[in-house]
This record gives sequence, structure tokens and C-alpha cells, in this order.
Amino acid sequence: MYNKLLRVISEILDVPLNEMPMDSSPDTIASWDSMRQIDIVMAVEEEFGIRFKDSDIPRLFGIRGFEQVLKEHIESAYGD
Amino acid sequence: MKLTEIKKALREMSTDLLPPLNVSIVRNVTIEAIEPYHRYMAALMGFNVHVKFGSYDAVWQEAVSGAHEILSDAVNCVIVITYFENLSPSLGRNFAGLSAEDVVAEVVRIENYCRDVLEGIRRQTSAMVLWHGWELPCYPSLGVVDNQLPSGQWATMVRLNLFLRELLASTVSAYFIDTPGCLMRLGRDRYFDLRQWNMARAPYTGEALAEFVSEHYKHIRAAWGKNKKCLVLDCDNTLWGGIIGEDGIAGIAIGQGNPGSAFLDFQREILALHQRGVILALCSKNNEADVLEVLRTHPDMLIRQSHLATWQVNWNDKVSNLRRIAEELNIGLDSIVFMDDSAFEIDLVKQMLPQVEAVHLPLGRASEYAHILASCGYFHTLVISDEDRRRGTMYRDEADRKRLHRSAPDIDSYLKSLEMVLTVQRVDRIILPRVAQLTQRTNQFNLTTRRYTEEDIERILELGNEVLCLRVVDRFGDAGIVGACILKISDETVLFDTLLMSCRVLGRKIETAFLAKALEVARARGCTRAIGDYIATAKNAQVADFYLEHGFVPLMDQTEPPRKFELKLTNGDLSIPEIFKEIELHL
Repeated sequence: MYNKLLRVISEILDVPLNEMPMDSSPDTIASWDSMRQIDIVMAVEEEFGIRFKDSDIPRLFGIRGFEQVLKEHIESAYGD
Repeated sequence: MKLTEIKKALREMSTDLLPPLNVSIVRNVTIEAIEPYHRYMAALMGFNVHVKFGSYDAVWQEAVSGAHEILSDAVNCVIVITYFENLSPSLGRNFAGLSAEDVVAEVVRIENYCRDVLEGIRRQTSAMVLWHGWELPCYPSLGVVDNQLPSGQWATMVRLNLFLRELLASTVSAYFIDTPGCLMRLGRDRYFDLRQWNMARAPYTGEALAEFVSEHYKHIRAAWGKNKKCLVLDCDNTLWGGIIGEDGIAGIAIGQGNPGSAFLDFQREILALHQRGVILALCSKNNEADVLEVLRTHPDMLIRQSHLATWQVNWNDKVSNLRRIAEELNIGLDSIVFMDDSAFEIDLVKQMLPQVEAVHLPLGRASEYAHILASCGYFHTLVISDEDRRRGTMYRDEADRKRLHRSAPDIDSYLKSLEMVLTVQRVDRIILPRVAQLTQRTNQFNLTTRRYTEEDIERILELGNEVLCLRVVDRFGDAGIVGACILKISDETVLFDTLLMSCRVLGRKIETAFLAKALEVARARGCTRAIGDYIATAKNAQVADFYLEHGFVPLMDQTEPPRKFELKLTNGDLSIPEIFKEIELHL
């Protein structure tokens, strides 16, 4: 899941994988502005076949934010 | 297509050398995410597009006060997006709270706004203008009462859209983009993304953006003359259900019921294109007389011979035939869309004639054909003139005047890429029913059309004869048992009592390999000469010269059918084209 997430974000931002450490975010990557954030949300939803909740949207900050929210979605999908 | 796939495809395409297309988008919403979709569609159509965006919610200011950076004659196309909730919060979000006078006043304000904006744009640039219409409300704010009101929310939105259509239609090179239609096609949940609207004033999903871009490029394609001019169609399982050469004119499906009415719907859609000025042609592996008979006499056909500019109905490969159609009609291959139900033919055309837009019609899904044609977007024009309506006839006359030489392309390299593996084997218990069935059903590639039951074939085998069958596997999959031959052996002579192949695998030189292997088997049995029988029927004209083409000579003094051809087996092997990955002989 983590690797796929990284690939999607790297594809949308046009930033090579090896230049994207785990703590990358709009604060560390110049091209990650609010427009690219919309693209990334769209692309992650397409790739993982999920739909984020309204309350997820503000939490999707940086790779860690996406990872945490994605984990919750995957857990709730298989949890019960 | 997913956004990541589009980004990846864009990275792999080189668009730098393509002619530039400058697009400006003035808008009152966040719509920057449309850019990759635009670049992708433009690249497919042969443009290197540069998309610029006006400032957020500054449409009126940029149009009326001027904005040289985005509105000038350096721009080819201006897209106007005035999302209704931002354009008119009162009508869009608070309709239930408005009086009739409020509604009228707001409608007048919007109409004036549109006039101002369009005039302002035209003062600055003569570029093509594409203006997005306004989505109709999915749930009008007055509920079902809205349906009764002449000036309810829905009726008001319809009227505003009509106003915008007329305003644009009366302005040179300005066109209405049917966003209500886009919403209708996708449905509300696939079209709007209200989370992004609330977060970033970006109301549309990626799917909606892709749909918009498809609408934009229908216009751009037409304005830049890149629309397709000619639709070339296969016949069997495309224009009608079934195979005319096998099922006969009474057996094909066209007309009422399932799947006949699906093919009828498809023909209706084709006819509508003809009436819009698209040229129609046929490209089909069939006996010409069979197809013409259907066109002339089948009571349920909508497409008639008079609708066709030309046709190539023969046993040549479709690549040559498409070239010939282009030559006869004097149009470029890049003006042609070719539709066929055979993945093999479509793949062949895609590889050998990439300029032709080849569209696969999935076999067994005829009810989707009309929609595939209606939604493909290749044929749009910006006007329909009287000349368009006559065009089909003009091209037909042109084709009648010209008759050019056939030039065969080098098809071997393509056939090689199919990685065909042929297996020739002696018939066994399991295969016997299939071979009997082939003798019963095969009409076109069948040298003698002798029909046999399973018991007949068992008896032939008991007499010491050979019954061989042919299996073909290629990279598309296993075609199964597609050929059979019955070799009657007496002393040193082998008689080809039966030789047949399913029409699914014709045109791939498989028959030559099959014949060569059968002769090899006969030679191993001690034969020194082969006799081939040919009995002409209404359906098997294509194989009349089969034995002649393979080095056999006609026997003299023949009066009664079958016609007999002879080949001495002492002169070495029949040569097999080097296009097969493997030819196996299992005895």
C-alpha cells in the first residue's frame, strides 16, 4: 500500500521516488501546491478504488497523512 | 482513463514537435485539474496544447476590462466556465426563497452578463469560444411542485441554457458546450465532487473533466479539419448478425427481435451519419454477390447500396482493401474510421495502417454498437451544409470513375507477429464430432462441400484412409479445430475427397501449410501423386483456383464435376510461407 501510494504521488508531482522521503509534504516539495493536492486526492481515490470521507480531506497532509487515512479505510473494509 | 495513466502516457509521448494549440480557460471555479486531460486529448489528435487559466472568478473583468495574457489573437480557443452556483448564488442555491420578480430580475442580470462577456472576449480575440452550459438541477429546491411551475427552477435553467445557445449561435465561431448532457451521461455522483467543492471550489470529478475535454475536442477537431470523413464497415456480425456466407440471406439477424434489432439500431446510427455527410463504405471478406444481394433485397436492411460510396467485398486482406477505398475516394487514410467485430482485423489495421482509426465492435454485444458509434466523437462538424448531405453521392460517383490497381502490402511480417502455432493431427474419438460438424457447416472455404456424419467418417477411417484436422493457436488464443481434410488412399494415389477451413482463420496462409502437411502424410503412406477435387457451389467461389495456385494441374477431358487437379509428389515438398512460429504434425 505504501509503495503504491508513493508511486501515485510521485507520478502526479513529477518528482522521482528517491527524492520523496516518508515525511514529504507540501512543506518540503515545492510543486505540491493546493492544485496538485486536488489531483493527488483524485488519483489516490482512482488507484485504490475508495472514496475519502469529507472529514478525511483536511487530514490528507503529506505522505504520512495519506498513509494514515488509507490505512483506516483498508482496516474498516476488512475489519468486520 | 485514470489520472496516473494519463500522466504516465504524457511523459512517454513526445509532443514538442506537434503544432501548438493555445487554449485559455476563463472560469469562476477551480478547474486547473483539467490540464492533463487537455494535453492528453490534444496529443492524441496531433496538437501540443498550452493551457492558460484566467484568475479565479474574474470572467467578467477579464472579458470586459481586458486581459492580454489570456485573451489575444495568439490564443486559438477560449473556454468559458461560469459555474452556476457561483454565477448566481440566489438562483442556484436559494431558488425557493425568491419571488417571481426576483427570478426575472436575476435572469436579466445573467443574460446581460453573458452578452458583456462574449462581446468583451470578441473585442480581444477572434479565437474559437467554447462556453459551458449550466447543469440542470437534479433535485429542484421546490421539490415536485417545481414540475408544475412555468418559471420553476428547472424551467428557468432550461430557458437560460436556451438563451446561451442562441447567443453563441448568433456569434461567429462561438459554441455551446453541452454540460447538461455531460451530467446526464455520467450521473450526479460521478460528475460532482462536493468535497473538493467545499474544500477548494473545485466542483467536478476527473470523469467530468474528461467528458468536458471530449466535448471541447469535438469542436476543435472539426474546426481544424481533423474530423473523420468516412466510415468503413465490416458486414458479418457488424452490419447484421451472423455470417452471410454460412447462414444465407434468410439466416442473418437484422430487423426485429434480439439481436436483429440491435443491428438495426446500429444501421440507424450509421444512416444518421450518412445524412450528416459522412461517406460510407464496406470492407468485408465475403462473396460480393452475397453482400450485394442483402443490400438490394433484404426487406429489413436500412443501409442500401445507394448509401455506399464504394465497397471492397472480396477475399483480399483488409489493409489492401482500406488503402484501395482511400485511393478510390481520394481521401487520406487519416480520414477513415474502420469498424469490425474481429479483434484480428482491428489489430492488423492498427499495426499496419496506424493513420486509420480502427474501432473494435465486441462480438456478441451488438446492443452496444449504436452507442459506440454515437459516442465516438470522430465525425463532428460545426455546420451541416446541403453539400454535406449530398457528399455520399458525390464520392460514389468519384469512385465509379476511378478503378485503380491493387497494391498488396507486405503482410507477412504482420502474420509472423501473430506467433501462429499449427498442429495437424489424425482425427480421434474426441475430435471426430467436431470434424463431422465442420463438414456439415462449412460453405465458403470448402473444396467439395461433401457432408458427412460421424458414422460416415468412421467408415472412411476403417477403410484405411486418412482424416486429418488442424488446430490453430496464436497470441490471441486458441482458435480450436478450424480445418479438416479427408484423404482417400488407393495404391500410390491420394485423393483429396474433402478439404475445408473455418472462415475464422482465412487470409493467414494457413491453408497452404495445411495442404503441405497433408501431402507429407500422403507421401509417408507411399503416394506418388495427389488428386484434388473441386465442386463449385454458390458459396465457394473463393477456392475455385486453390489447387491451381498450389501447383496442381487440371486433368484433361473432364465433363462432369468434380473438376480434378493433379500434383506429382515426386517433385519435392510444397513450400510453406515462413510466417509460422511452429508447425507440428502429430500422428
